[in-house]
Amino acid sequence: MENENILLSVKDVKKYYIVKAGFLKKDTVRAVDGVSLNVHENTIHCIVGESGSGKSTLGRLMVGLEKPDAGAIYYRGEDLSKIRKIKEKWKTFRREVQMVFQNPYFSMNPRSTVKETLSKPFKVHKIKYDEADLERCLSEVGLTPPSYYINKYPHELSGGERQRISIARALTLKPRLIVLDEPTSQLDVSIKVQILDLLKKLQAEEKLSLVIISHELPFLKAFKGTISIMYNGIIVEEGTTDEIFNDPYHPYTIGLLNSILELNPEDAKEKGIFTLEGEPPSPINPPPGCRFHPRCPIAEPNCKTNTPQMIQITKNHKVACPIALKLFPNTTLESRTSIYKSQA
Amino acid sequence: MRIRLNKRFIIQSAALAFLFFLGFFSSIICPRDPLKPGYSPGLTPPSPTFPMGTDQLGRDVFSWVLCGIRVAFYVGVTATLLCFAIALIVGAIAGFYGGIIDQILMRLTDLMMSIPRFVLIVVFAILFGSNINNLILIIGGLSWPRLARVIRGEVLSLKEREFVLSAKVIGCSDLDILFSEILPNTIPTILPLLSLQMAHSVIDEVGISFLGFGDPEVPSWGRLIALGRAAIFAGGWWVLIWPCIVCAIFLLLINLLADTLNDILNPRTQG
Amino acid sequence: MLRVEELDVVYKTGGAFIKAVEDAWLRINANECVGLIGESGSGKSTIANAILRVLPENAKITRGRILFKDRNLLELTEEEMREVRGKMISIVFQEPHSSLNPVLKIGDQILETLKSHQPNLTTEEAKRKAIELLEAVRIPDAQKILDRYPFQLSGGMAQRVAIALALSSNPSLLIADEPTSALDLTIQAQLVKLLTKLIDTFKFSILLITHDLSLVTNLANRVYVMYMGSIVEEDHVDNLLNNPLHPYTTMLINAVKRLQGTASPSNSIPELKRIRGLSACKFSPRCPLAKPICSKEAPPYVEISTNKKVRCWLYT
Repeated sequence: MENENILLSVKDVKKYYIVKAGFLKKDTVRAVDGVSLNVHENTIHCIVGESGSGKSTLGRLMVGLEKPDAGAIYYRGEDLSKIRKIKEKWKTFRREVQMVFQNPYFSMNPRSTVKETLSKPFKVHKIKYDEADLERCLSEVGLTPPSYYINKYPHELSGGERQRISIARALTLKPRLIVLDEPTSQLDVSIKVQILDLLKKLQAEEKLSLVIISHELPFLKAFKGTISIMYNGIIVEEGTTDEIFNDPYHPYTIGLLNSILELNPEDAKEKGIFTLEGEPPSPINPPPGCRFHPRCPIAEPNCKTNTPQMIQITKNHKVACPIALKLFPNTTLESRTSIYKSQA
Repeated sequence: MRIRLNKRFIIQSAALAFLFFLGFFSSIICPRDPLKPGYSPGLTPPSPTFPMGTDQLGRDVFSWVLCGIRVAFYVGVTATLLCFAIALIVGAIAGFYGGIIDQILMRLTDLMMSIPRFVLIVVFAILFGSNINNLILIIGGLSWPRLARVIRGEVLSLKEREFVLSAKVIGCSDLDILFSEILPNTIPTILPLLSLQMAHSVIDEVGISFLGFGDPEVPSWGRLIALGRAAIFAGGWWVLIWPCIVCAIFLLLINLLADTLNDILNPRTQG
Repeated sequence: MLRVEELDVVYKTGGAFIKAVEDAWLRINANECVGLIGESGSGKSTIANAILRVLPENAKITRGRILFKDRNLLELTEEEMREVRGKMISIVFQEPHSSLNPVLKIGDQILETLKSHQPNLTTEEAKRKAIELLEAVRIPDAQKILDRYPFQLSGGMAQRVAIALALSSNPSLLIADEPTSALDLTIQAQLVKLLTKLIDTFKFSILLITHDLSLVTNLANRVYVMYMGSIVEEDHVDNLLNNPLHPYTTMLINAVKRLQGTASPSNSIPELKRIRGLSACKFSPRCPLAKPICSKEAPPYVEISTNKKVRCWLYT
């Protein structure tokens, strides 16, 4: 992917929060601790992590809801902190970059009808609209007939319907980039599939970029794009969907993939599942050196002291683990898993 | 707003509305000038001419009680509106912006809450004059801290809700977010409190007038009750009882309505 | 060991009556793990609450029997139920921190529970048993954990403690209501491994209630599928995957396969249309194979073979 097509660029961004921890003591939560990534035009970029990985914070930083404590975020080449100061440019940013949130039950104002919720973006940006425009937005996300939904209140709708309205609202101003923070984690399985299809369709039709933040790794297999794996505030591996699922290098990625429960346990027994032990570390006191070393089956003594750097494997695939690069090139996923099980 | 019409609400609002109309039209319905003495030689018990009797100076108790309703509504509503305006500004700004502004405003609120309020009302009434409008200013101006605290709490909790963040991402200005997203969602909590504040304001004014610091030109129940206290010794129970009963009914209705509003707007989830 | 028969549970909300559970038939034998699969609103948690008789004020069991070791739980007094709850039937919930008392140390909570089941236990013996329990659920440094408070534990650890508490009385049945939904993927995998081991060691049965089909297929022997208050299919796990009978089960399996990328996009999932009016078979508005009778009469729950039942006009 060439540099000219980069829509949003995150460069070495850090975000810390100060929390009180007892009398006069303050702890620093290192939510995001040095993350760099690029979102290209017309692509789907997934950010995967468990709780405490910092992925939601990263999402908020990307849409400008939070300001980074270090590093910078560039939108179409311009630093966000500079865009913020120029009213015109900031308004444009707010039109072109949108966000869909996780919880469908709180993502709509309970006192506003669907009509009011959808027309708000037009009003804020002073763009003329009519009822037909709103109904078109509803049809685009599959809520038909639109006239049924237009005057409903959130409590009259199901979780899946509310989530679709959030997506519809994000689409009203024809954005270039939408960040979705766990868009389906609160929804039932059959609705997840519908939203998945919807997102794929919209991305292809509107040619926009999607950043999908999720902990539901299996769900992301269906998207063809880039996946960044986050652990404890940093990115540990990044690659195309294919590379991450079929050729993962980082021990955490392999552990994650092994944690996915297969639908058919017979398949699981064939694969010989390996369970990652231990817990994700707290973002307050990350372990020294490589953050993953306490849980890592292939850790070496150096891992306690040396913080690993991102190393490029192929054009799109990079990983922050020198040990993996030593052991794994030209091996299959099964043999990597068996190396783990032997070392664990 | 979805106030489901339930029986209790209709009955209570109707009763209060009835009292309101009595007060509103009191100047027309009122048979006599309540503050004018001399309609009778002195303390007269209730009779067909004087349904609630007269006081020591021959003033018609019934007219006083009736016109007192208007006074009560006037004080209740205006003082509450003033109180709400101040509490809204303080609470919303403190909750929304946080940081130093929040700290300063909250310490100010704490300070005001620590001073005995009623004493201060009396002192200000003496200092600045006990004209009824002054009283309203004083009462409203000293009752806002508790409400401000609640508003701040509500704003704080709503500020991080996803629909508010969603509005931010769309590009809404702070003021827009505050008024169209956050504040409307505080109504269920605030409305019942405002009703209660109305009752408190009336009690404050009645108390001040009872102590003799109220507006002498206004037929407040408080002053009548004070007269009644003296009249009891001369056997004039009617001067005391009637204003007490009507005042009690008035306050009871407001409190009940506040409760009903709370039940409607904040339904307790039943499983 | 546990038999639920003909169970109906009705909720009263805002003047209307809603049947949360209709005609439920369930069976759990000793030493087996049974899954109860359903999406949100299917009524699966209601069944769990009904078994333990902890339904909210506005819910009533209007029909049926719940037979636990041949005693009808619905006929027991509250005192007798208290003997059953927590002792013979335990429960673990979705939110690990809601099963634990936030103001008591972990050790104190376990000791309290142990002593209530076995009043003759000395503190020394109870403490030893507590450590045994914590080690059984693979908590490292069990001794130290006894002195910690719940808020100091992560979700995964707290859930293990909740399981330890539930097992402290040696129950015959453990009801697990969405035990891993609130946990991370890697922690979930650990808990699945743990539960499998615990069933072997402690010899109890589990009623696993979840919306996650993969969880059920990895842990349970048999599974019940629920849709909008009715149990629509019952089968052995491997058989269910290969031969689903009810159209809803087929749809569910396809949805999971789609999400895991192991099914072709041509398996379309029918849209959820707003259900207006009462149709007898609740799934018929979404069912691609619906026949005219489906909207007129509710299908009966019929037995196809041992441990295989279905509620669908296609098979009656």
